[in-house]
Amino acid sequence: MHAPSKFKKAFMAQLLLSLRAAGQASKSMGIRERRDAVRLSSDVAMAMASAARARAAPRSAAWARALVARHAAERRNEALMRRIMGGAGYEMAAAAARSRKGERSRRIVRRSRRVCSGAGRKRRSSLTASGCSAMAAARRMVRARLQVLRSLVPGGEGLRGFSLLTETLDYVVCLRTQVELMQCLCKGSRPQLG
Amino acid sequence: MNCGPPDQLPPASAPSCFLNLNWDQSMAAAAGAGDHLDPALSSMVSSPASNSTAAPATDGLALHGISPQPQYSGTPLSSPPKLNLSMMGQFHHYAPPQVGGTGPGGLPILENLMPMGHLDQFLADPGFAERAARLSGFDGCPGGSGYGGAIPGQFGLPDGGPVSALKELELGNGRDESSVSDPASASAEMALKGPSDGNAKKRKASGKGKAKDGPGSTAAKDLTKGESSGKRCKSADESNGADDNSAKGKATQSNSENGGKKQGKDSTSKPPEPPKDYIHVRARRGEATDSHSLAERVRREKISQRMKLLQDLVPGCNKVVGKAVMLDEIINYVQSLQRQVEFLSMKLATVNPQLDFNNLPNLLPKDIHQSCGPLQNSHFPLETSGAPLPYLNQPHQGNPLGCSLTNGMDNQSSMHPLDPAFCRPMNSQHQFLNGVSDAASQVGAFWQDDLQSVVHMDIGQSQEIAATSSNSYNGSLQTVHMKMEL
Repeated sequence: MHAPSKFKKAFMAQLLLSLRAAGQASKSMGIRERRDAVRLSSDVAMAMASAARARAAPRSAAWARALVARHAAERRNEALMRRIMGGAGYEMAAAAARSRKGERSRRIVRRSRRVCSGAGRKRRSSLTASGCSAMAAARRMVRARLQVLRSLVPGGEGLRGFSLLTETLDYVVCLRTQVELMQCLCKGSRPQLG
Repeated sequence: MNCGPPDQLPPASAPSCFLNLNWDQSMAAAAGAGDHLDPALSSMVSSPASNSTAAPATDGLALHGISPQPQYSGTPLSSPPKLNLSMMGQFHHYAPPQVGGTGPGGLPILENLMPMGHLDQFLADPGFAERAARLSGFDGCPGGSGYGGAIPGQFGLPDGGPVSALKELELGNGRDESSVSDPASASAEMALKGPSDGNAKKRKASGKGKAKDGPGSTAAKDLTKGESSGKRCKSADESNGADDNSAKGKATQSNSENGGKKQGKDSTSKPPEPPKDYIHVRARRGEATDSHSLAERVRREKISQRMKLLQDLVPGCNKVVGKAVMLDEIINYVQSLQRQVEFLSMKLATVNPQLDFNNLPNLLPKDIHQSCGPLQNSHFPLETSGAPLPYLNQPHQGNPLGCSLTNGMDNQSSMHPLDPAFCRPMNSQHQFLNGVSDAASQVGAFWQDDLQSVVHMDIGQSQEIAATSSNSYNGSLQTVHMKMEL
């Protein structure tokens, strides 16, 4: 009961800080760029808050690192991310992004290996299909959905069943908090418009 | 033997049907073995009350004590099979007067029995073990081959082989002894008895602490004892299934024996700490028990546990049956959240074009004034309803800071503004927001007044507080401060 509120406060503080940075950076931006900046800063705030939480209590926040790395991989985000995270933090994130690229190539190698050894796999799968096709179909469906989930959760590409679900759990909780806080901010900002 | 255990059984069967199962098997197996042991054991279990009180706890521990760590060999603690052996040895020698004389309680008996259990040197003697294995005639025991590798003179037995062999020796002896025809077994008994007597005095002091856990260890021991030659592999595998949840998931046949021993040993070392980081997996009847399927089962169980958590988290996922559909729901939810973030960032970018939240405190008092009523209305029902998950709190109809504030209150669920300590956290919160927004101090003062007015409106509704909660509130705010400094 206690931790989420604490997390929410930390997240709020981080969000306000990073939005302020984005606001200073986006004085002369178009609406689209500004939206991207807001998106970026809220994502980074979420990642940083959850990483701080992960440091406090031992839990994995691989998705947070992956999220920051994904943003850091894009060159145009560099200035803003430097501003939000500080120089050292950005360097780390950029390094992570570079290593992620290596990871991706490794994954491609793995996939190609799988393709190469696909003959045996196919034989086996046909065997199971002949045995009980319904179960095989169900398994295939689950596998396809897990693949989709992998693409949705940042950093989930390299994960398998259990760790993927753990990351999804954490990510969903944080995403929910993010939505909640951003809704609050929108409501707080509305009177200015009117 | 047949009448003795059921006295212990009912309490033992509650925490573990697994033990129970083995008990039944042992009943069947040892039916012919220990006819003459009946009086001895029944006299030993003469006080079912004490046993029944002690048994559940220790049994639970015996089950829970299965630790994944593989080192169990070097400790001089008496492991249950040995205890078993000593007891049986006593019974072979018709020691009932000794047993009966120790008193009505089961514990003193066990205490007396315990020192006899230290036949470690003998157990570790390979020659003796070989003889024992030959005597018992159960060559099918998987650990038996590894028995020769036992290091002589070591106290703990490095693998399950000797234990099982000696156990079987016990069973065999039980059969043989009705007509004491085998000279070799008699000599083995003599050999058993001699050192046990010699060691009894020496180990008595160390036996004290162990005697406490007697019933549990006897239960564990009986579990292992229950393996007759026919059912041996199966029950071994069952104990294996119960034990093998170590991360490695390595389960070999001899390992199962070790598992039984480990179990008993952990039950003897109960007071220090029961290990916690394991998952209890049990192979049911007809399930595969090799290491791979066990590991697979553990993995599947963990995944389903995660799925259950996600099911709680994702709305509308409760009624869904089936993994694929549930995953669909989860995917939809994650996608909708991501889209919502996208939309909100767009909205934020349009609503607040400068992204200038510095003037947020300027907006705040107005918002607080507007949202005082709804704030309370939304605040207290939530508090009373008790959301099942902490993150299930709906976003409030307030301004951002009021929202975070009241959420904090919700989650603490007890804010008492009358307490002067409460004003301090409020001030610090206020300071912290000031730090974020660089607001001017007079604005802050104004805002502070407003916040306190909100707080005072809450007074009438929540009257109970613990000073600790306000303290913790303060503490959390300080951590926020620290994070802000970063």
